[in-house]
Amino acid sequence: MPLPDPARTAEILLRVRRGEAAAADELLPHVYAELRELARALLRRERGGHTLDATSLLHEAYLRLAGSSLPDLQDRRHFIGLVARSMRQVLVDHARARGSLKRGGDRLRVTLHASALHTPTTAVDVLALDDALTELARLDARKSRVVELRFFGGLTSAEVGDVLGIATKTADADWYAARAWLRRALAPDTGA
Amino acid sequence: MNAERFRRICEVFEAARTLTGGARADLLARECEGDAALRTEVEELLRHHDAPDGPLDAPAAVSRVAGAAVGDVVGGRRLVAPLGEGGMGTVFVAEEEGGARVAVKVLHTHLGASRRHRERFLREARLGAAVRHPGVVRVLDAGVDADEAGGAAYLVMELVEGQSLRELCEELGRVPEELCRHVARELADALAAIHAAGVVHRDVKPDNILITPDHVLRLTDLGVAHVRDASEELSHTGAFVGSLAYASPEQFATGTVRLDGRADLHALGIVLYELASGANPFAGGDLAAVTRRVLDVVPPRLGERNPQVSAFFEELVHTLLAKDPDERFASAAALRDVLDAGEDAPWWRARRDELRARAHGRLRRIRIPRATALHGRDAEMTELAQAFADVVGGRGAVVLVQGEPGIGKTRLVDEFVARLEREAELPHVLYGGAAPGAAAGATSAVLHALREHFGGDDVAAACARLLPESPALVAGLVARLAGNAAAAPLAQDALEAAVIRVVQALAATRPVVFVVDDLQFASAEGRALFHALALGVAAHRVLLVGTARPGLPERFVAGLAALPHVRRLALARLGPRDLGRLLVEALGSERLADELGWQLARSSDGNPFFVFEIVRSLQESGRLRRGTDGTWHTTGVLAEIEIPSTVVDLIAARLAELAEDEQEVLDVAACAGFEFDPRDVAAALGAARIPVLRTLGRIERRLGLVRAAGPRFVFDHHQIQETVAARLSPALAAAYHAELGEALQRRALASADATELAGEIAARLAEHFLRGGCGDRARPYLASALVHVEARSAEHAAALCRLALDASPPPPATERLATLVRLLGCLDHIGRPAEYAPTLDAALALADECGDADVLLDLRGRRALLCVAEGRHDDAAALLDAALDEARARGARRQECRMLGHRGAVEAARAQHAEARTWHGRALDLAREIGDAEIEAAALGGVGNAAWALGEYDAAFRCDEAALAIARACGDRRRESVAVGNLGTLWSARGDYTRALALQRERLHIAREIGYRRGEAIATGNLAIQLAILGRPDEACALHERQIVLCREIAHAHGEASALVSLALAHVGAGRFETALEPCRRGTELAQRLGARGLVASGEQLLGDTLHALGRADEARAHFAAATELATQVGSAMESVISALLAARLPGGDVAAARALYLAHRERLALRARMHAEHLMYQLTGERAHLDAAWERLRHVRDHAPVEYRASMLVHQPIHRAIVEDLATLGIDASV
Repeated sequence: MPLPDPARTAEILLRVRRGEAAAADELLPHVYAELRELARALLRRERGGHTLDATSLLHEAYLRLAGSSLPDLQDRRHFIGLVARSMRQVLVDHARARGSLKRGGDRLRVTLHASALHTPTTAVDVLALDDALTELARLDARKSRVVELRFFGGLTSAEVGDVLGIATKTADADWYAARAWLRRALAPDTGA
Repeated sequence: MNAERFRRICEVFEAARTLTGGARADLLARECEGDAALRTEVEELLRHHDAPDGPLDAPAAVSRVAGAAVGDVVGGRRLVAPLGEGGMGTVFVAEEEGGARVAVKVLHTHLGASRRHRERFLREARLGAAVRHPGVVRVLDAGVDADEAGGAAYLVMELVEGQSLRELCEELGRVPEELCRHVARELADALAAIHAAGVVHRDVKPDNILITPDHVLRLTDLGVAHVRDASEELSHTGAFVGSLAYASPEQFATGTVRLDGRADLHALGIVLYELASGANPFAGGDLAAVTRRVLDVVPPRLGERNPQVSAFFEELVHTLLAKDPDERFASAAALRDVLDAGEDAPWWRARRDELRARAHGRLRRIRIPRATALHGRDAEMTELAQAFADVVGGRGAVVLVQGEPGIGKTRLVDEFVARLEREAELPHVLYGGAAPGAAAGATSAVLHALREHFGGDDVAAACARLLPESPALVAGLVARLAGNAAAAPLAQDALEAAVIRVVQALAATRPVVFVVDDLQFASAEGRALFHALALGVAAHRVLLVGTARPGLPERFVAGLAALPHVRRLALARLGPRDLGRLLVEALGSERLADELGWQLARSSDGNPFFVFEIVRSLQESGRLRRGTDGTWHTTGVLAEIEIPSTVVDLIAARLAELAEDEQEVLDVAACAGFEFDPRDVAAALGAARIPVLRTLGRIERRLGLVRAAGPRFVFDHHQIQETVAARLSPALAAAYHAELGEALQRRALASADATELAGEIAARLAEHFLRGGCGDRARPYLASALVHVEARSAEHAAALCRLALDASPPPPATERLATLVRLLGCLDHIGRPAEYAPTLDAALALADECGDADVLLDLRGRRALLCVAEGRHDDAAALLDAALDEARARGARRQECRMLGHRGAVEAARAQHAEARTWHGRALDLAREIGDAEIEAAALGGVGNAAWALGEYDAAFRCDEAALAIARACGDRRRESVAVGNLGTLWSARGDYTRALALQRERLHIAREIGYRRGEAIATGNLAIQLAILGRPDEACALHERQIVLCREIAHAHGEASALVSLALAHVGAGRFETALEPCRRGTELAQRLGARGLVASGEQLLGDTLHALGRADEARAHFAAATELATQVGSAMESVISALLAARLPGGDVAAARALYLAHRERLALRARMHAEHLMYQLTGERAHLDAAWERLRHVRDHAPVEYRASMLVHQPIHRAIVEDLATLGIDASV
């Protein structure tokens, strides 16, 4: 599938902004493909415990697909919303693929480092997170989306609000609740 | 748990989240009354929420956080001064306890973070320390300071003086082979020692190889590389990607392959390639591009990039670059031995024979530049491949490749042949090219090919083998091949038969590819032989390829085309997409291709050869220079691209073939323009239309040069038109122009009234008549012509003005004056200071003569502005005051209005902003009174600027928005661009960087579009400043440097000074304090000379700050004092407050005075300045409220910055970093 040029990307985003749901679907496969390529390129140097910087991946993908042709802030946010969704999928796919390479026994942990200091306490098992997010979506779809946008997309609460059409305060509230819930779900000592 | 329950839990959680202690307990008790399970759930969540760290903070980009700074003590050594920055850490000069000096590299904190990393690092460093070799910089010590998770890992090394190989590369461009071999040998020896100690260097690259003043090579940075690998620093810094271009394929492999010394050999190979050819073959582009190249792409043979290298060296380098480590040299020691032995080495002797054996099958490389891959010829390559497939299957094929010179025919064929080498059965490849003027060697091309094929072998024996039954033919053929036709004469048809039989015989053993190049040069016999061959190969495994320019006889081509196994390929011009790709590759930079693209496309018209020639001439004349990363940059502004001489030759050759009547038609057409109407040409020649059309058609068919385009014709290239026109004698050209003007006028008047002729027609008429020496006939059209032309291009308009001024007969004085004034406007717009001043003088003199008082006043205004640009403010003020008196006396209100505005500009240049505002305000009122929108917009801009300088941002906003509206309504693009830029700066002051960035870009775009160079310079600077604020110092520096060049070219001294100071600021943002000093000083000095006090204040403040950062507090103090003093004089709140605060930080600083200033002015400070000031206050007093205030603003700034810049802002904006760090010490994570 040929990659859309930035002008076309901008045009699709315009339609997304106007509320055409179908438009987003047009872009997703491209976004997904682009992210996969990028992820593969970045992850080729796999070794023992490896890490992945989600944000640079996302920024790369964004730049490659949209370039600098999106002066409008809103367009950018919507686009990043799409990218964030794809990002999650890419990372999960990758983790699964890695996991399946191991014969029997434990699957290999693919971790996301979420802060500048790569300390173990902040590492997150991608597959576990994915499961937890899916579970969260069952309970409250919007909160799951907020997590995607903030965590994978790097958007602030104000921007999340803009993409989802909710108030900033609401986005904040969703985020804190979701984060606490997820932390609990991911914590090793609970059985939940 | 269901959704409803979850919602309730979250509700309570949210309410309780922001409460603490008793309040929280109360709320929980209330809300969860009777539902103990609910309370438990909520408390669980709250527990996880309150935890100080844990997963799922929003991701921050991996940031490079410097591990240490000057003055720190690391590993027992005191850091004295920074030495340089690498991808993984900063290198400092440090002092040991005994006073000895060493180099200490402090790694970025996140790289030493985990214990596992630290242990590996220490282990490897100690191994490295065991290496003692003159060619290796000694590792003295390594360790990790402090015990927190973020402790700084450091490496202590010998301090070595010298130049890096990188610098040598830049100096020499291409390093001579002797020196390359020496480097290779020394490095191989050093690597052997390292490998013997059990260490792999992993980071061999030119930056890590030093040459001492005694010319000793030393390899440095041992022991650091693996830390990078292990921590996967795939961050935004180009440094890592830069290292990546020296990596070996196995460094990317998954898991199982262990790195050994051969990886270092690969890196060495790349270094040698780069030294010998001037560029790293894998570099360029982003992470993914470089990775792909290292893994998949085999670089072109070194000989193609540098024809002077020996076969030995070329093969050596390519052996090192083998993708499979087993195919490289077995060890560094082995490599060293080979280099010691040189061409006598057994390795080379074996290789040489192998190469020679394969060379027979290769196409002899032709002198075509092969700077890039082949672009835009996929369809043609497929056709050739298909033809070859036919051939392999037993059916002969003939391909005729046609196209204009330089379009890339031979290149295409060469590329195709190169791919053939991958075939299972390597074909015989024969190549011969017909040469122009080779009348005697009628069949030379084909024979040459055969001769080359046989090479040094015994030709007679070979021929005898191939033609066993025809000894007579053999003798004759051998004689012809030896160039001695007389020895055994052969009739033409017998020769043809012999050649055909030889080729068929060859085809019996292996498929044959026979290339005959440049058929258009072949004689009649040559063509006949080709045709015979074409017939003869029909049922044999031969692919006959002929290339030809236009000009082959029709019958010949038709005869070939009629054969069933003949294909024709016509190579067309490259379309914009392919041309774009070609340029990106040739120039190594998308940005440059963008910048030059349209000019190159226009000049070359999509002909690849032209493109390369033009690029080459730009490179050779120094207008394009290669930077450290191997990519090209423009030096200065490329106004025009001259035609390189080889392209002229190409065109001249074509023109030489014109018949006389054709030449005449073409000459007139060239005067008529790039696109011309044959009717005009016919009329000018006094000929009938049809014969001229037929002549043009004939020209097109035979030689190209022109093309029909609807009812009109167009030249094939701009160059052709220019060359033809240039060859005309001036008298003849003038005569033609006059005739053309006449013809055009007749035609135009036939369908419209004389008074209606305007716009395009007027412009062409004016130009023709002017060039034709009939100045008086041009006069009626001149005014509207100039209006029309100026709207499109000030350059063109200026040229037209000059034509008009030089016209004969000379125009009357009033007209000349009007034209001069117009010319002044154009020159101002373009920025030609050298011409401007004398033109102004001439205009003033003429206005005086004519007694046109109004124009005289306007001109005096211009003179005043000139004084301002040169820094002579008092002169300007005096001139204007006198002019104002006169204007008022005469009641010339428009002039008065303008003078008022100019007067305001003088005050603004003096940094007396309150006065400036008053003046501009008066101009504004008057402009509104007399209803002059243009002046009104200008005055609004002036008031806005003054308001901005005084810190009254809302007022400035209103003014600039009003100015923008008016400018757009008038269609005044220049004013529009200024207003857009001002608004951008205002938005930036408010912290809305996204909008600011977009506006600055728009301004730059408009300025470029209308060719407004001064505006372009200003816009470039503002954009750079904005980027620096967003944390992109390198981009900002590049733009500032361009701005400096532009300002120099248009002699805009104030702009240059401003650019220098801003450049220094950008360097500071990147942490390059030493580098910042020079431009800062120069800028400040220049500003001083110009009397631009505000700018001097900024410069002094920056100097102080920089010196402070470099540890020179005493010097800093003086500068801060100067800055504060000037800033107060000028009334600039920001500068005075910040300078005072900065000064207060120095030992013995006056905190009380600074605080007083802060309190007095803080409300007037713009967002960023306020943030900075609050942070400084916090540093001085430790009061938490200040830090919170700073943080609040930081959040605002971050939230309003475009997403993609947030990370870089955090890294490269010192203020942001400092605030975040201070917050971190209080336990607050502000990195989100």
